[in-house]
Amino acid sequence: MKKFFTIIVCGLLAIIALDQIAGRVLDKLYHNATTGYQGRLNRIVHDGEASVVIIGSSWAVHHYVPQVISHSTGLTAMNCGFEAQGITTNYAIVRMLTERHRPELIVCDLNPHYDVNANPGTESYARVRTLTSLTCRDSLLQARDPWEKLRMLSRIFPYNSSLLEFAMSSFSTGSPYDSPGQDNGYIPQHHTIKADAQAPRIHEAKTPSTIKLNLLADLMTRYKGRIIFFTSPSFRVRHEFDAACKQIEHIARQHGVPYFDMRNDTTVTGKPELWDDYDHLNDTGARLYSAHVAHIITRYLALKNEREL
Amino acid sequence: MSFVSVYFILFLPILCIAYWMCPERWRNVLLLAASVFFYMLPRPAYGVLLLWVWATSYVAVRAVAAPKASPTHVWIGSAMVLLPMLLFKFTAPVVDNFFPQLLSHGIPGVNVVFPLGLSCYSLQAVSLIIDVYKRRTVRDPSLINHALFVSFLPTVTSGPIQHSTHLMWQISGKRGGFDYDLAITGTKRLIWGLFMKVAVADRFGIYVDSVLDHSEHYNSPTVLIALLCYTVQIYCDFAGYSHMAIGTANLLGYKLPENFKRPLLSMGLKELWTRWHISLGSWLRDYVYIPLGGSRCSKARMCLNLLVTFALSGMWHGVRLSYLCWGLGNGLMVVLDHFLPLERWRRMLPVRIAWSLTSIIAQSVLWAFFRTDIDQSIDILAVLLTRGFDGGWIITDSLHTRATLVAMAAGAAIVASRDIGQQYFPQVLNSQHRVCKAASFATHVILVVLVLLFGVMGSGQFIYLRF
Repeated sequence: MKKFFTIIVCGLLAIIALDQIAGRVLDKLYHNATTGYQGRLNRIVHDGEASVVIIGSSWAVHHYVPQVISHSTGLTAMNCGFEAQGITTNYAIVRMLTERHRPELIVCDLNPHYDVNANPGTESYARVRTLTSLTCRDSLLQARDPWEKLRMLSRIFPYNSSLLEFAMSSFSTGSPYDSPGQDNGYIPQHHTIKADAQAPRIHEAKTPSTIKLNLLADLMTRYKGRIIFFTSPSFRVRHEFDAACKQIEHIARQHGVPYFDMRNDTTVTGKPELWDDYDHLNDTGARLYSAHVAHIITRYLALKNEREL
Repeated sequence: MSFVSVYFILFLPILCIAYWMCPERWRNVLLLAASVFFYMLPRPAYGVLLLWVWATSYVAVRAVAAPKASPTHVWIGSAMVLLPMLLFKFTAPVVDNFFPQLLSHGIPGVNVVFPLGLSCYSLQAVSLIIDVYKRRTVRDPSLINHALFVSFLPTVTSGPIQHSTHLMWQISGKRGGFDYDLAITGTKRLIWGLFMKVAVADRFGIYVDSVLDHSEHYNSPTVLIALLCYTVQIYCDFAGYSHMAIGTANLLGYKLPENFKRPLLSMGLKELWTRWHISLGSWLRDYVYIPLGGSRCSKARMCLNLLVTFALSGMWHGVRLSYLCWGLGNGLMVVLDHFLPLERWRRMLPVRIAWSLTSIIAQSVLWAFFRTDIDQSIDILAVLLTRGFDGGWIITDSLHTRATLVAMAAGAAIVASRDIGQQYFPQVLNSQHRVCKAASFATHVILVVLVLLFGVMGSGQFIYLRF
């Protein structure tokens, strides 16, 4: 038995040594990344200084053109959206960004599928784990799973599930995040869908996640007066989001924060020439939609300034 | 409590230390207490069912052990043991249709309507009744030993289903002191099982779910690849679980038979089903197929026996049309294999490879029925047969998807290399040479690091915990 324990202890020591060495290397690599997703994340949280900051999932990335918003509002804008990321990542990004810089307005695009409903597939914490200097990181992770604290004792665990993506984006020159076509974080798309395109079915649960709703409420409380919420349109109105949008509306009203449900935005809905796929606008559509959003933002800022005066 | 939970990782060393420090005569009591705790932790109400199976099987074993026992005793005893399982199997579809809110609350992936492990330990108890009647095992086990056999910690949640001829002798007999080699083997199997489950199966699950849950958006090759990936996913998931169960038993000084013997390297489904979920297969063979007449009868009767056995195998997973289709589909493929000159083909490498691939593809298509309900399975098959190249490919510009695919390929390559090594070079992998031992040590350390880097944490339970 003694021999067995010796082997087990040796194994554990070897694992700890490997973990510490590899963890240090990964720390350096991640924090110095300038390309791919990690490069984008580093740029946002370490260098983002715009007055209007746009956050959200792929809707934010592909629907909000900073140039159009800047032109209309006269303020600098930056698209800080992240594809396939839910409210947890966006919350972490805003918290980290605002620890260093105070934007005049945060535009948050809420996708009920990612930001409200309890769908395990949309609850990615991979990027949050890598934000080592984020003060609320441990509490965010623990809210999801009390054992995260134990896992995070490992030096390599923060890079769980993101290492390959990081490596591939670092060596790839064709990443959309490094494309010269992008405008301050916005990534244009150029396809057009067929007029008879069908909505992708959403099989996951449509019940809200308490963790997500709490984060949403916290965003509203923390940044009240500096934050505005939108829900982007789809090619045709997605009625399966009705309940979630009503819930967002209710929370926003409770906190006195503006929320605009744009699912039925007639400037773009039902026009196939403006859509890259069923849920994402192409560049032409994004510019039209951004102009509409910019108009709302300008009015909101004017109203806010009037009230402050 | 699941084998992949942090609770279990903390619980197992404490149990092992307590178990080996405990005087031998108290070890079974300790293990029984630990098994009950392990089983009831997620939902204490499950204990009532365990108690029912203990009690009914114990009474039945006593009855069939008597000199005047008759087959009627066996039938009544088995029926009483199987009663809760059958009740739950038959009511689950009703609840599924009419009270869906009762499903999947609490533990992710665990169906409240169907209690954890009930199908496995019920069959295990029935095997004990039959074996005692046939005088193949210990005839008068103590209540503690009987309860431990039914609710043996490593197998209570999802098998492998143990035959009394194997496990009961170990429980009842003296096993002696700590076995270093067995404990080392157990530790390695635990690590390997964990790797297969969290770093390979769950990584494949991300891709499989994203395609098969939205199959209408993809073209036929993508759906076919997803179905092939589902085969790898379910293999790694259940074989990973089985490795962990056997590894846990090894650490407690027990030896359990293999549940998977590199099934994806089989030639044809006939061979595959002798190497996949061996414990259920051998249970069905011993207690259904052979009593029906097995293969010692006419060809037509043998085919019927095979189809009945496979249909029951499907229905064991749940009373659902899709499981029946899955069972019958596999049965038909096995019947087909009986009529093919497989032994001759085995000597012709290209034919052998071609038939192995054809069988894997056929089995992957049948998994569509296993994975989901009949409507969605038909949708998937419709896409597979009619869509052609019209539709989306999963390989998109998304770095996330591409990284997932690379991780899947790497994981599958590691599993394949081990399986191929075990199949063709077992002497190298099991060598006791010092260099090989050091290499094995290093490999398992690296596997733990890979689990930390690529494991999908908190992704859910083992697929087989649903049954």
